[in-house]
Amino acid sequence: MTALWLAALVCCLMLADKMMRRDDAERKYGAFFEDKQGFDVLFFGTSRVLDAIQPMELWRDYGMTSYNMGNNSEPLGMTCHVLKLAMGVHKPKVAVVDVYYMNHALDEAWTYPYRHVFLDAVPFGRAKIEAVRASLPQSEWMEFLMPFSLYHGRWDEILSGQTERMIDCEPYMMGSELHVGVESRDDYAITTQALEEELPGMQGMRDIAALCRENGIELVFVALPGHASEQEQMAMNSAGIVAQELGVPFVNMMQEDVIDRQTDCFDQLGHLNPGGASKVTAYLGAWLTENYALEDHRGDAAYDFWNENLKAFEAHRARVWPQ
Amino acid sequence: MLFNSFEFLIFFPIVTAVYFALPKKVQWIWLLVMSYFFYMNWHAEYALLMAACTIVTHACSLIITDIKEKKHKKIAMWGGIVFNIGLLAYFKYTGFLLDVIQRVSDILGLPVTTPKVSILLPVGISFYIFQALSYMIDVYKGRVKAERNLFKYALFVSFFPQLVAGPIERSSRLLKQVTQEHRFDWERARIGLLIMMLGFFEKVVVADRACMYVDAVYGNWASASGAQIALATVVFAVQDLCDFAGYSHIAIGAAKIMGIDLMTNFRQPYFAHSVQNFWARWHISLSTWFRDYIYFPLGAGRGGKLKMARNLMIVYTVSGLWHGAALKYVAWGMLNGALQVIEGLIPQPKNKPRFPKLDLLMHILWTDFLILITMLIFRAGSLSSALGMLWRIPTAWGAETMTTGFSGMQALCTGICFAILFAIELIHEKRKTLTGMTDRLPVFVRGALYLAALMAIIIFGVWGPGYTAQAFIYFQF
Repeated sequence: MTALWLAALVCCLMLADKMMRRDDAERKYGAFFEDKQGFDVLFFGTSRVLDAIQPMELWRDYGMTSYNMGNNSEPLGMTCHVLKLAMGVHKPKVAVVDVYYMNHALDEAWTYPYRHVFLDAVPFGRAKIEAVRASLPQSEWMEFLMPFSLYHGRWDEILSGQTERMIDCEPYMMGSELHVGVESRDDYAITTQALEEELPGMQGMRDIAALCRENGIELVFVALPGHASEQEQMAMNSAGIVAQELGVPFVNMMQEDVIDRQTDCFDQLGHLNPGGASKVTAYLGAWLTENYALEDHRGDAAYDFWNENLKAFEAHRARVWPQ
Repeated sequence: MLFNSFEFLIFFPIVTAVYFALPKKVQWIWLLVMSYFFYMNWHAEYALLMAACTIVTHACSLIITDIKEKKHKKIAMWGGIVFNIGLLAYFKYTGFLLDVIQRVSDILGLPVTTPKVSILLPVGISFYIFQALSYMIDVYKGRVKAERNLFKYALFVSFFPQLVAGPIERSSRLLKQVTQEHRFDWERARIGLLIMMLGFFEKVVVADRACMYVDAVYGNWASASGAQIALATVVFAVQDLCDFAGYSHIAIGAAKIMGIDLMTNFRQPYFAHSVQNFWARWHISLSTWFRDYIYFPLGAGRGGKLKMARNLMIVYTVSGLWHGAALKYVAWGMLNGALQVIEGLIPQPKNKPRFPKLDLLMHILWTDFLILITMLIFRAGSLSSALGMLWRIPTAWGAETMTTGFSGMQALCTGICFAILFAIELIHEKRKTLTGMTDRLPVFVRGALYLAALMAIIIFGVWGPGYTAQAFIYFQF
């Protein structure tokens, strides 16, 4: 009888856990963890990546399969753990890592809540425990390893129908977001100067490079375009020097004339709107195709669901961004 | 280690499982080790204080037992009392005493500057010292025999379920029980778990949610309307009960699972028909402690109403000080004493009331009203804040309300919880028990009911990283 009661309790807890969880993780990373065929390219980094890279446009134009693993406010130290966990599921041919957060350390507490979106999607297991232990202080372990301890308090949000999304993503978007709006942000000058000191993100870059080397993955560091302060630009330029030392290609799009600063951002932080994202995606798609032997899967029947996703994505994009 | 912490959820099942797996003769040793481990989770070094209190009271009790001369027995008893009260006074009242000296000096214009001291109050010190003192006094009075084994006595002082917030047990009840051999009993475990569940409901669902509203209003009372302060005081009255009774229920339930019965500490206090009756129902283990070790030795009600009034005022002033080293607690204690003195002076009606139930209800409501005033003083940040709030209730009753951050859903949940709590209290007041009532149900229905209750506590409870873990109010005493 006790065993039966305990079994019922476990079932109820599992059900409650499912009901109370935010669905951001599932919508953002569900397609990645459920995918069976793997990806040619994975994109990592901050919200800049999230808004700037459209995997479905890369499929449409180049036939490459890719996933946007970018997440809000992700320091490079965390990107290394994301890459490690992602590799446990799918090992890509190329990993593209944005270096915008060079100045941010892994232990900056304000960045912790954003890590839920990724870590909540990772199935519980040894790899997840190791990643949580390595990337977060002990005081945070419980809420990341047992998210129900955090989400059970969402009952009032759910009952009052006031649930808010942290990420505006649907599974057919392969991890990217489409944020609309136009904000002109032309008040910054491009600099080629670099910082001389060791930055928090540099160790992350070295760890990422080592990880990719060990696993035979081609690595590319990128600096995506958009508003950046002089200090941020200098930090990204420093990343270019580190990349050179590591023998890893560095695509500095801050220095290229890829976007229109007047029309291609949707906010003052320099996040790109769908128009700007299309330009950056096309630029990177061309660069990747030119530099790596990436197979074009468009004629392969095994990848038909990519075409279905593309239809859904294009319909969504046309709805939110008609121009 | 808080009862409402993840650590306790791991600690308690392990301790219980090992306790019953061990040979019966060493069970109490395991309990002693685990009780010290439990206490050392806060500040390991404060276990030394508890050990000192234990050793001194144990030694004094043996001296009292072994020596013949009454005068020497008395010296031993007073030696133990002075040591323990000195310990309590140093940790709890040094800052308060220096503050009072400074204030008085300022008023009198004396050139005195007292040092500012910051002494961390060891958790539960008031509880275990009172428990140890009661044992020593009982030995002196010949009510109990001294326990010769220091370690068995140490377990009586440190028994972890009731160590930091009571109930303050008497040695005649607890000492034998904790050192006895116990076998696991499913029925006891079931009842113990249900009592613990009630405690968790009171603490993590009711008290900790109510606390959010109370803290918001009391923390910024000058911006709150009179109606909000009044409502927050009512909510605090329920919070305080649930916080403390919740702890007691968890303690009683946990001890019951291990085969040990602890005393009832709360008996529906808000159904009291007088302030005196309220104190017979609220924190019973402390009220009876004061009765047995201060009020009775002072002469209780013997010698007329004036003496009784004096004794009541002494007891409740000490009780106020026991609750905290601040003027507001002294005022709170004195007000409780004064209300009982006044009650004692009011002549009882000679005739039976025409409508006894209505008469009882009116008495209950009046008593609750008086208790709410005392509760406001108890919860306010200081005595001057309390007076300000009491003034603001009628004068700013309809003023603009402040934002508390308490959502409509939170308020609805709190209201439903209060209703459930009222129903439970009513059932207990009618001398029925929840377990007794549910026992009549078919086993599957009963199991489903327990499951639903547990899930409700887990989902609606204020626990986990989304909330700051709320310590029990009475830990500070």
